[in-house]
Amino acid sequence: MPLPKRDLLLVFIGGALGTLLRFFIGQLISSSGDFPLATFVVNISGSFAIGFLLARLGALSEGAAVSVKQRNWKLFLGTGFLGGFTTYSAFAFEIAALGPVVPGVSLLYAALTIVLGVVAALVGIWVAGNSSRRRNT
Amino acid sequence: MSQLLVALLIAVAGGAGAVARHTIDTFFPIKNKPYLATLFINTSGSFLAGLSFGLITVYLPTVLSFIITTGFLGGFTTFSASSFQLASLVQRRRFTEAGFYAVTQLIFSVIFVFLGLWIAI
Repeated sequence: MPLPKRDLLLVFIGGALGTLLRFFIGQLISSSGDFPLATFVVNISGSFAIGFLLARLGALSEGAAVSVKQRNWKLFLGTGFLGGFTTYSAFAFEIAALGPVVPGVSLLYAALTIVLGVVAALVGIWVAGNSSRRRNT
Repeated sequence: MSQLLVALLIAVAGGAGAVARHTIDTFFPIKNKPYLATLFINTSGSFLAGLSFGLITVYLPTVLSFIITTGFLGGFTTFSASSFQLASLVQRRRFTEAGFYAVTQLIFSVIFVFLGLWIAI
């Protein structure tokens, strides 16, 4: 039971573009002291965007089946672009690298990214809900 | 190797990583808790990041490190899906489950980075 080629292509192109943007941000933003600012910015902004995107796509499909168009956007932007843009391996690697050298920064970086990531996703969901309500009234 | 070619290879590797993640997500045997697939992807990706970084530093040119870790493994693992899954657990007031998921994923990923490095070097 292979996956549809179309789905894989959407995920591939989205993932390639997201990875490229993360790479460029990594080149532009240097670490602030020991704190890995580039990965932090990428993961928090990506968490906000996924909340906004999935809430918007979900809000549109409430009570109805998800359309092919919505499913394609979810695969391209959500699974592909934002999945490729954000990264857990670099996050874990940085925590491991900082741990033995500056344990306080390592712990702060880990806790701050996880907590603010969840907050950013919740804010994204909230903003999507507000903007779609405004549009409907 | 030119900068442009390196960027292109990183992008292609990231796309391939995203496709690998989507494939595992789709065929993951446990369907009722979607975050378990993400947990598997992020912990295994962290192990591979430690392993490949170690192997490349010791045996291979560093440009490969960018293509494999920044490209493939960066595209394979995801932070956004994890944040969204945690946010939806929080919205359903499943705080213990959210905490357990977040902490398990973090600790195992960091341990697996060390394990990968240790095996490689």
